Amino acid sequence: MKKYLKKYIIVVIAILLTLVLASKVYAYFTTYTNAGGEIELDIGYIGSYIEIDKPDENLHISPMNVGSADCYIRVKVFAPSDIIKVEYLNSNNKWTYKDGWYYYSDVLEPNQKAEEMEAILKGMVEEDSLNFNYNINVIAVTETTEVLYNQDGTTYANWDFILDTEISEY
Amino acid sequence: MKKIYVKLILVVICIFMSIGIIRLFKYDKVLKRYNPKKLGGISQIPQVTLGSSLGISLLENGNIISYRNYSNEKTDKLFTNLVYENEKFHLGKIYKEELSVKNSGSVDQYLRVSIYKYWLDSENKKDLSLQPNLINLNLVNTGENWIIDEKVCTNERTVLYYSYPLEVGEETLPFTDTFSIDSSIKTSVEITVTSEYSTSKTIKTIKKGEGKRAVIEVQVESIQTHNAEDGILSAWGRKVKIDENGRLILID
Repeated sequence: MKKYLKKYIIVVIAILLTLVLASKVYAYFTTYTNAGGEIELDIGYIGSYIEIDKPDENLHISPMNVGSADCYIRVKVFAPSDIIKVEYLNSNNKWTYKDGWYYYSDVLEPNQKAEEMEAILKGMVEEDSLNFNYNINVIAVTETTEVLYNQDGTTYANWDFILDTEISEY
Repeated sequence: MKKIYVKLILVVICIFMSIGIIRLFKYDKVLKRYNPKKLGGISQIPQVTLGSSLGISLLENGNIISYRNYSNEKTDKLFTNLVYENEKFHLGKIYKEELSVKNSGSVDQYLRVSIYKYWLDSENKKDLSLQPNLINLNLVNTGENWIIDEKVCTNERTVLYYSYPLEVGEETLPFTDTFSIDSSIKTSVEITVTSEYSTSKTIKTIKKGEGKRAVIEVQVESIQTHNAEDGILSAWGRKVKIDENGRLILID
């Protein structure tokens, strides 16, 4: 009996070994690794403030970025057209005229003032006219928009989307 | 009578052992086929031998960012060197982000990469108001080297399989090359009327993206090449076919 028992044990072990070799694999070796990252958006807000001064015969207009994000800025001056004609001096070549607006070429950082723009006010009424004395309100409007980036990192403005408009009166 | 039974059992055992040995040899031939550049074919039999181990590393722009080997592991964050010092991250701008995988183990492996992208708000909760596709991780080398599993991809998740077994010490071609966040999020606002009276109205304009965090998570998994079809189905739940050249093909 003992002799056969030994043989049976050997046979059982051999069968188990063969089954493991012959059949499909029951366990698989796997491993993994991972990594993550995040970018927090700091969009901020944009806003403008415009100063108008008349230290001489011209209007000196200085818009300023009062927001927390960079912005592009543009300006327009309104005056009664039958009395006053507005002409712009572009002495520093930072302002470009298009579609009734003057666009500042550079990006304004927070709390940065744009270089001054001068507006010449030319009277349309004769000086010796009885109705020469006028009180005229001149309104300057500034608009700001977000600075957007191209894929290569260069900037541009989308003036179809304006978040801030500031109006000042002189 | 007992002797006949014993002999019968021994014959059955021999048949099973023969089948097992034949399967081993067949596997040996498959190894020879997908290692054509090695003289004489295979370098070791079988793939998982005593002392061999899997090991995998994720690389970002050529630098190992995380790894898991037999005895050690490490995980760092992505995007730590995305922008130069003192430079701010700009929406719309494209940044270099090449991600690839290296076999840092001692056996050849098949790979799977899962990429997750989503938005978190200031309370660390997923923000579903922003679309994950505003986060752009550009995939490259797809088709021939990296196969996109379209069946399981969603707006948030992309799954890729590497077509060939990655040999020991070998690095894959990158599966991404650039990262950016769409600039349209800057002009995406939510406008609400907070109070309204007969003569006045207060309108609140909130920028949807302000304070939100764009998150990218990348998980790399690897599996032994031995019985890879069964292994991948069992471990990853995906039916694949390994052809005679060792190339992995997804089966729908």
